[in-house]
Amino acid sequence: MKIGLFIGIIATGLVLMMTAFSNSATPYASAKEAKAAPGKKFHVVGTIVPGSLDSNVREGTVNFLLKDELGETISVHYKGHAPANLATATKVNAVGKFENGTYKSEKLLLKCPTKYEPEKKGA
Amino acid sequence: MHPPPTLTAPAAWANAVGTLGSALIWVAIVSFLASLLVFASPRRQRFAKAGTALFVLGAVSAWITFGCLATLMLRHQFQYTYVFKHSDSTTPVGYLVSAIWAGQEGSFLLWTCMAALAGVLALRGLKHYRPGFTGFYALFLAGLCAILAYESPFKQELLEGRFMPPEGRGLNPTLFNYWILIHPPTIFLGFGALTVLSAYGFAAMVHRDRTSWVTQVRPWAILTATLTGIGLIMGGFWAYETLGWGGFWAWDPVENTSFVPWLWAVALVHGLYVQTTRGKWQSLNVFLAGTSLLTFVYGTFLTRSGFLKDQSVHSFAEMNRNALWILLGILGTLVGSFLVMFGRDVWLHRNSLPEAPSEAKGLRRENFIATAILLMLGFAIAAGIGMSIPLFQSMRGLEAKVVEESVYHNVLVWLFVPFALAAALGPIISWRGMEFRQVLGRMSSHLAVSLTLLGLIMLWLQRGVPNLMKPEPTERIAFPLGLSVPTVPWVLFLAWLCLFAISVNLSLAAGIWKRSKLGIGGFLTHAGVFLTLCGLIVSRGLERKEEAVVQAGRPGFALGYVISLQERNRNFLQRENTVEFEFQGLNEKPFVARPVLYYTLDPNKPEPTPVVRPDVRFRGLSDLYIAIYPMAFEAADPTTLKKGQSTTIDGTTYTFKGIRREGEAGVMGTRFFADVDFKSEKESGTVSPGMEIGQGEIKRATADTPTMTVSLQKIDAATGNATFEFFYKSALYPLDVYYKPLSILVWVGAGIMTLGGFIAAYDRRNRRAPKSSKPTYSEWVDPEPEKENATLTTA
Repeated sequence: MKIGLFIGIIATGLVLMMTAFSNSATPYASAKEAKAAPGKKFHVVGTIVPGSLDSNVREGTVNFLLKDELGETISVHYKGHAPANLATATKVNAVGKFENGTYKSEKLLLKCPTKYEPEKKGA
Repeated sequence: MHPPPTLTAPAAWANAVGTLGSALIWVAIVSFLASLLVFASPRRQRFAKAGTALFVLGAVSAWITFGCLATLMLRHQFQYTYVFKHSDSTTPVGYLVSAIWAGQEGSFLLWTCMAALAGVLALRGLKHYRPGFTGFYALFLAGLCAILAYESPFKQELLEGRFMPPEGRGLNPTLFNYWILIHPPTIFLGFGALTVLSAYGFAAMVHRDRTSWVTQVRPWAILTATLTGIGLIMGGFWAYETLGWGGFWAWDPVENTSFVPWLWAVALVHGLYVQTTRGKWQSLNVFLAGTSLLTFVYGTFLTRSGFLKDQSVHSFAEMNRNALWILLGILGTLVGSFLVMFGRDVWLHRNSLPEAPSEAKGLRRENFIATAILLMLGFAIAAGIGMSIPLFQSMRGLEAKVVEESVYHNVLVWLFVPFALAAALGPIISWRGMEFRQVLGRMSSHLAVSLTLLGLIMLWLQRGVPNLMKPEPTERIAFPLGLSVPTVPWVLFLAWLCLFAISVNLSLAAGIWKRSKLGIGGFLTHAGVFLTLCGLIVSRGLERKEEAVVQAGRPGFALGYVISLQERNRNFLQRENTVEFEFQGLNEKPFVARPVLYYTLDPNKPEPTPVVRPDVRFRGLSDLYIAIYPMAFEAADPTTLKKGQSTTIDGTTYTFKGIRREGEAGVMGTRFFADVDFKSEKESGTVSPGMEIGQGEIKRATADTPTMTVSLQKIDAATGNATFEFFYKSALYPLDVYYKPLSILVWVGAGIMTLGGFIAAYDRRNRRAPKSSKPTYSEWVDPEPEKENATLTTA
């Protein structure tokens, strides 16, 4: 197999892959940016406003107010059981999209206080 | 008042051990650098023995350092920050051992020791490559030890080591699982073997001999692939059994960091195979070997640098800045020196004759292997790019992005299909070329077998969970260019591809058993890998998940089971406390699931921290996976009611009748009571939760119905509205119940793959270099012995 062809295939594949990944990767956004693009999926990182966390276990939903890193607060609605360390998480990454004015989250990724502590995923 | 804790001074021997450990790191650095100097000097042949001795001295120093840390850990010397952070006096001995590598510094020490071990073991077969090999290796190990000098496990930051804290912080609760004793040592040994590969690659370039090293390095390449492969899968087992999200693999950056070197090593194994049998691809193999270590170091840099701290489950604490610079320096040196050496190598061979066009017609095995290598490198580069996207984004000054599981699947599936075909067809196609019709003929029995197996699997799946094969209409897998495919047929197609590859390889293994027992190694490995992949694909692609909520006396429902809480006295503050649930399904015996739920108390945190672990029920061909969440008591969001207004919660209606006041308005000590009538099918009555205005605080008295505790949160004086909170008296347990079909294949495949790998490595260990550089057919014969004169040589 000629080495030039080999390198050429690898290089083309590399470029294709980088574009594929970049285009379909989910971006991080502030609350404002996510609100401005309803229907598109984002990661919004922030902290839970103390006192706003409500889990309705029977219905399997979690609602809370998320204050993002620019200080804006949005109302997050998550369908599923509250992940184990949600109440004590230092940072919450709510993956979801704005629909009809509420931020509907499909996944909550948590940053826990201890240094080497794995995140618990709520998917 | 508690008396202040007594602080004892630490024992003198502990200080000595810690100092010895720190000192030995420096001894190692100096030894390795001295070894490098010996082998770099023009007098290297004369002083080769000294150079080797210095290398071994460095390795021994690293091992003794490990012993020092182990001693301090096992003897609970909490004045050392590392021991304090990762253990306490109640940690069992087994976990104390694993605590040695539970943190950043210890894991670097483990890496260094394993790399040193592999280096020392490889010293025996080096011959004329000794200078290049040992020089490279010594420089790399010196770099790792330099990192250890900054990221030292012997720091005494608490009270400057003058006093010994009575207790440690304890091992992270998630690490209390037997895998922590097995997975890190195995995979780091694999990375040690990886260093051997790179050192050989460099030596081949430095000494300008690209042929002799092949026989020496082959067993190491196979060992690397086997150890990193099984190490990776062990990580998956660990995640499956501990983390509770129901899967083995998440394309997490640390997973990818180990995935890339494994693919690289496998590609090298196949490249070396072709070089041994055909004498070709010398540049490719030198390239693959030379770059293998730096793929791992790049991933290590990325994950420990902090760039990925928001995206990885293994979020390490950030590294000491100087140590990070050294790591970057190691990476830069590896890349730079490789480019220089490889450039020189290409230049030296620029006049070598181009290959004569092959006289073979049709499909040739060599082309299939070349395709397979390309695809594996493609997988590796895809995984590498995926995990680097956050780095690229920040370098371009753009917002960060995350590559999720579905995106990896979309991109990689393009590579997987041809890859599976290559693994299935490559072994049955001869070196000399085969017409396509011939290939079809050989394939036909395997097509039949794999399709039959697939049919059986489909029949079995139908029985497992009702409607498993009839998913929601929205369940589709998205592809680029706007295409999408229904999930179930696609997963079954991929499963069939795996079965096809397995069938071919197992039958070839059976075929070669008579001629050469050890020759089955490669085929077993192929079969094992595809068995694992089949298990991963089906158990994830066709998984079913339902959520349930269980309360004492009120069962929950999921996946056709009635789930009831078994009540008994439990201590939720005890480690490994379990909650028992009885599962009753149709046509099977009831069983009891025992997921783990307990709470740890930390004086620094206002609330207890929950720790959860799933219960994985291995039931033959599939798993039932039960994940538990912390218990909940809230029955509803805080509810504000007007006088006379009602709310219904869980079948009971609560009507707010009004507020009664006891005492003067506005005076301290005044009490307010809210009367609430409750009515359900079974019971009715009135409760009166209240609140008392005290000095700067509000005291509340809750009131209980038979099932609920009602609390008065606040009263609006202007409107007379009252806000209530409702809590269940007996806790609710949320559960996720997963049905994971064919997950057993992941385990069985891993075992077969490892067995095959060790057999193949053992088979290649005593080969001496071929006398001439002409190709030798020392491998297992082409499947057409009557057509050629190939002989089995045991050179």
